Amino acid sequence: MEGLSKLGIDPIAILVYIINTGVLLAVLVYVLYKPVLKFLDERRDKIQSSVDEAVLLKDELEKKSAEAKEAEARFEELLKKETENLRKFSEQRRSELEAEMAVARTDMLRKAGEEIEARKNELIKDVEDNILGLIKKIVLDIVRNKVPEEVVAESISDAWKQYK
Amino acid sequence: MLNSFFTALLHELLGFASKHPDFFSEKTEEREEKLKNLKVPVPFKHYLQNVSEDHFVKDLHLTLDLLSGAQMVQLPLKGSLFFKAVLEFFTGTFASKLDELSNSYYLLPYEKRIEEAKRIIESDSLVARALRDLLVDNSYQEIASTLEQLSNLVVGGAMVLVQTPRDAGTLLKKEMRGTLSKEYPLSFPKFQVNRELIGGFRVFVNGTTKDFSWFARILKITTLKPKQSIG
Repeated sequence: MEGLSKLGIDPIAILVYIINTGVLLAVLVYVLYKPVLKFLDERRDKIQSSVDEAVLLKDELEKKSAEAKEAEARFEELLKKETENLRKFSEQRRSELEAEMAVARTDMLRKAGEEIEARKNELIKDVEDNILGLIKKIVLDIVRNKVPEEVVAESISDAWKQYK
Repeated sequence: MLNSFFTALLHELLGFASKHPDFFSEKTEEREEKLKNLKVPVPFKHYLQNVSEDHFVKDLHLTLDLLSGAQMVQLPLKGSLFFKAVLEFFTGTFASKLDELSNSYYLLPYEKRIEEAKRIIESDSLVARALRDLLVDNSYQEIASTLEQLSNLVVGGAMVLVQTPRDAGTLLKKEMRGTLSKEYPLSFPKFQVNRELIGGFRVFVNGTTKDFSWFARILKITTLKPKQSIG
């Protein structure tokens, strides 16, 4: 002990220092280290929770995305099918309309043809009637006024031979 | 119209019957012999030659009814041999005489008509005189219509009308009448001039027409439709 004293080292002081340091350490542990540790744990837990949540969200997102893609694919398929149906329907309807139009056009052409034919026949008939009327007038005028009596007399005999 | 003729005929027939009271009991040949001197048209001689006394009396009554003013349509003339003989005479011999008359005959003065009638009926018997009166006092249409009616009543004869554009002439009319009489026995074909016919002739028989006229031919030609060639 004396040796230490001769060297200028006071063991008691060292002890006190040690005790002080111990107390200080205890205080520090109690007051600082534990809250910080607790804070750090909490922080770590929070981060972990956030990470887990992010992973969950990511999974969820991926799942939703897959579902959306699937739905989109189905929709596209449906849309494609509907489009095809619509195209087929349009084609069929167009064909029907074309057929109806063809029938209507044929009918219209036929009616127009008939009307033209009827009108043409009327005109022909009118012309024929006029011509025949004229011929009749001319012929009657000639045979009534220009035929000699002996020819008329002969015509009676000829007609009588025909009658017999 | 035919009363004078019937009277004259009855006068001759009854005079003959009174001269030969047993006539109807005799045979046909004997009758024929006795009838030679009777001045009546041939159909009546044939009638007397074949008729029975009962039928003769019946015919006599019918004729007397007619002369008393009864209308022909009121009497049962159908089947009467006497009226059949009347028809035979009028549609035969008399019709031929009638056809000898020109169309202008009916426009002639009375005296000229008498002369013309004497020309075609030369005999001077009562019946002939009655026939001349018939020709002089009546128009062709009147005579023809009466005979047509008589024919219809006695034998259901056809109504035959022949139209020509001019007078067909005696010979042709005779020929026509002969042929038509064969087709329609005891009918009295009437001849009529229709200038509208132009040529040929036309026959109406009971409303049916047989048209051989030029007019009909012209109409036929001018109403013929040409085949559809336009289009």
